[in-house]
Amino acid sequence: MKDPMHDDPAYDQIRAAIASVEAPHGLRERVARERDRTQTRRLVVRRIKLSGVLAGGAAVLGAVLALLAPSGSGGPPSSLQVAALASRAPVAAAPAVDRANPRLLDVSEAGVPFPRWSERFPWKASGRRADTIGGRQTTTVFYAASTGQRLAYTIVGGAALKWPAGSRTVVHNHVEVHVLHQGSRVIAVWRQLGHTCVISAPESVPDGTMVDLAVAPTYAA
Amino acid sequence: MDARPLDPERLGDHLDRLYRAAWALCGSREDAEDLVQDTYTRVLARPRMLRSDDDLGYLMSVLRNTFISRHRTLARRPRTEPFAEGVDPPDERSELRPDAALEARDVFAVIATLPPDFRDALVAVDVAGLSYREAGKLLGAKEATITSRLHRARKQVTQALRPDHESNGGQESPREGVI
Repeated sequence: MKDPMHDDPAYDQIRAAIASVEAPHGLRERVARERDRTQTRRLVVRRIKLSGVLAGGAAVLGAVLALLAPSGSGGPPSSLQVAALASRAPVAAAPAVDRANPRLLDVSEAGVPFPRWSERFPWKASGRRADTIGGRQTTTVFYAASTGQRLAYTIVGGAALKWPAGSRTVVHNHVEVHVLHQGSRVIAVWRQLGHTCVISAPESVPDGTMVDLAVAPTYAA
Repeated sequence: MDARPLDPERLGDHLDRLYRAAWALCGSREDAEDLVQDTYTRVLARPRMLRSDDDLGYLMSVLRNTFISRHRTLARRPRTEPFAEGVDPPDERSELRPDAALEARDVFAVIATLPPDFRDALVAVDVAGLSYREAGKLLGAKEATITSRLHRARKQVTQALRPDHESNGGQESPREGVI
């Protein structure tokens, strides 16, 4: 692709000015220290894990947290609580296709639109519902495949939720997707425009497909 | 899934580009340093798996998200006046030639005041050095859109930095909107 201002000498000076900048020494040192600190911490955690101490501690901590965090206990919901919406039934019909952009459905939450996948994936919108969990507005669109499988795609209003513990982090197309297995479900959690998005699907859906669904482009074709 | 771990040892290779991008987004050296450090802290917080070789693109996406988050947080706080309006204290930490330092400061100040769509395209391609395709992925736009935004952004920057322009760069003005 031809650079539209390739031959503009005025812009060449601007490029040169930009390229002349280097990160300050102090910043380099701080970043290096952060990296070393992180690697040391990981090494220590790995050793603790090997000794079995962490495994026992995590089990006890998990049980305590479960007791201390009943539903409706105040703070924002967890990603897993949001994923649990998949077990509920749709209360409204499937949203229509966005006339302005056939890759989108005509429904959104907090400005984040829902995708229309049927051109790329065998999942078609089949219904939707709206809920409030932990004071957060959520919108869920259910997608069904011809095999009868159903997945739930939820967008949570407000600030992003914490990443789920024990998830695997995969980065694709610059999007950080956290994938985890919970019972018979596979769950993908990521962020769009600063809001948390969650897909909960049957465990038979491969992790890679979950990531592809999460990062499927939604901008105009 | 074909994924590989992000190598923390190689993250420093991209520091200069990230710093330039941060400065162009923030319009201020001090904010840029904070933004880059926050970005690295986020990335290093846990092991990452990447599905492509595009480490820089990933770092840019984290930088951009961090910038958006900070921007939203700042927007909720009451505004304060700068310490000395119109005066930019000398930065003894930057490793710059004195003549280039002034010019770079002006350039970044102008870029930071561009409309967000134009600014982001220019930062991704001309400042961070991403390809049009990578910039399109980063910004969720088609390559043709990136090309168009970039062209207009370059024109605006060039125009604003002309000596006869009424209000050229060098001042840090508040940024509106998010990316």
